[in-house]
Amino acid sequence: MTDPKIEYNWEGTQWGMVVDVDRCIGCEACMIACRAENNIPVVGAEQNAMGRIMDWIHLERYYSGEYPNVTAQFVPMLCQQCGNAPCESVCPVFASVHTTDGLNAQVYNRCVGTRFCANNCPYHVRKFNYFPPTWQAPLEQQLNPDVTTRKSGVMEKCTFCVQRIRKAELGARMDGVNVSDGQLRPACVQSCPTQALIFGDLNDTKSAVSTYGRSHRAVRVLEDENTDPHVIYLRPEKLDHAF
Amino acid sequence: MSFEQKLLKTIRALILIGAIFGAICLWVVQWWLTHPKKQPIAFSHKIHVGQRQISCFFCHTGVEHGDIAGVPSVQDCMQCHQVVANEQVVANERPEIQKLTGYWERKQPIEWFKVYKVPKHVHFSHKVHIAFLAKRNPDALKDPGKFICAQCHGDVSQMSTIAAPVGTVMLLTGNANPNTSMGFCVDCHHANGGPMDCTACHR
Ligand code: SF4
Ligand code: SF4
Repeated sequence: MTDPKIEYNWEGTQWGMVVDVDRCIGCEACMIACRAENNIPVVGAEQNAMGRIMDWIHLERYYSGEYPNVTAQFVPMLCQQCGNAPCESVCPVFASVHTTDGLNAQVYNRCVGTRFCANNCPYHVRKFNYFPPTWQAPLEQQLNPDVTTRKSGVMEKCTFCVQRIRKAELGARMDGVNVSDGQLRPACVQSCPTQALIFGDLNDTKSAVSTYGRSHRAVRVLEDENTDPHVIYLRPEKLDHAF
Repeated sequence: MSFEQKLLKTIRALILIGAIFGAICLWVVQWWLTHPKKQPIAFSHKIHVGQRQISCFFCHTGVEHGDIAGVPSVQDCMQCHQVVANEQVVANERPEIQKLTGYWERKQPIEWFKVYKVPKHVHFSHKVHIAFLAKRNPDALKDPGKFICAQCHGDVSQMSTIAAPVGTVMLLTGNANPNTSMGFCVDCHHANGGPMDCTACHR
């Protein structure tokens, strides 16, 4: 019998993120930043109650202990940009495709809305536009021109702020240099007050993400699903309830 | 007249009416697809670029340093036209410049009709493409209109109206030159080692 675990050796730049769960205070600044950066529609309370909220990054809360000694643990959950992504293999139109730099890209103009990918995603981070996106005034005035506004019937998810990645890459290419570590920060990383989120190149052994990735605390969520996630979580020192 | 004859006559009449209606519809559709949309001022690139040899970068100022090339403001036009071809002697022969002066005096922007359009889900940057072409051919920046812009926009110095196929025509023909179809972009990216990632343009 062959070993089901396949080793993926991606060459070149592989973008990845480290989430230090101990540092996250649950302030949700990352969620707001992501909303503003990526033109995420506002669905309203009723749709929200039906589980149709569009946030590309959300906070999972885990409580442990008996009252009054209760501890809360916040786990920011975003697209894990799997190297061996379950969503990609089920998309009939290749709207969910892998890029050479380790991103799990979502091509909105290809998406036909079958929702196979969301059903196959073990992390529940793919969001579907059930209705045409709306923004309460004056939010529609602050849409980011670098990001497409999606239509109804289209799947969307965290892109690692690919518009910022491409912009930094093009700038670096025009100057004839490489993107340096820490120069490029997605909106959530930029706005996290406690620096719980770190972004960088996983293949660069000197980068902050790969250094943290070698830490004894490093775990990847649902790793036994063989999804090869590009987001590494640093497990809580004291409390390993969440993982 | 028997019933059959009556029926036949009705059917013939219906077919005739249908054919006429269909022809009218076809004509309207083809007119809508092919008629050139009129700009508020009949600006001629042939005169400005072809005869007067003005660089593209002079008016489309955003093109070298930004994503969007931009259209000059009325102020930019009047920088020259307060003097050039605006004297009383020639004024009556230049109705288009009179129109421009009208906009200037009314302090009103000109609502140009956009010719080169990419769909909303395409993110294009002029800056990067110019930098690439200038790197490949260092002489290109001496005459950008000929060596750089013409790669996608055609020889603008010979066009009195910029006639890029718009809307559905672009979708239907897709091979008109100059065009903004995905095939045109991908061919060039393929040939010149441009990024072939979906996210290079779609994000
Ligand atoms: S990387 Fe960008 S798209 Fe992804 S969760 Fe953070 S802000 Fe949102
Ligand atoms: S911004 Fe940082 S601290 Fe706040 S919820 Fe997000 S990850 Fe946690």
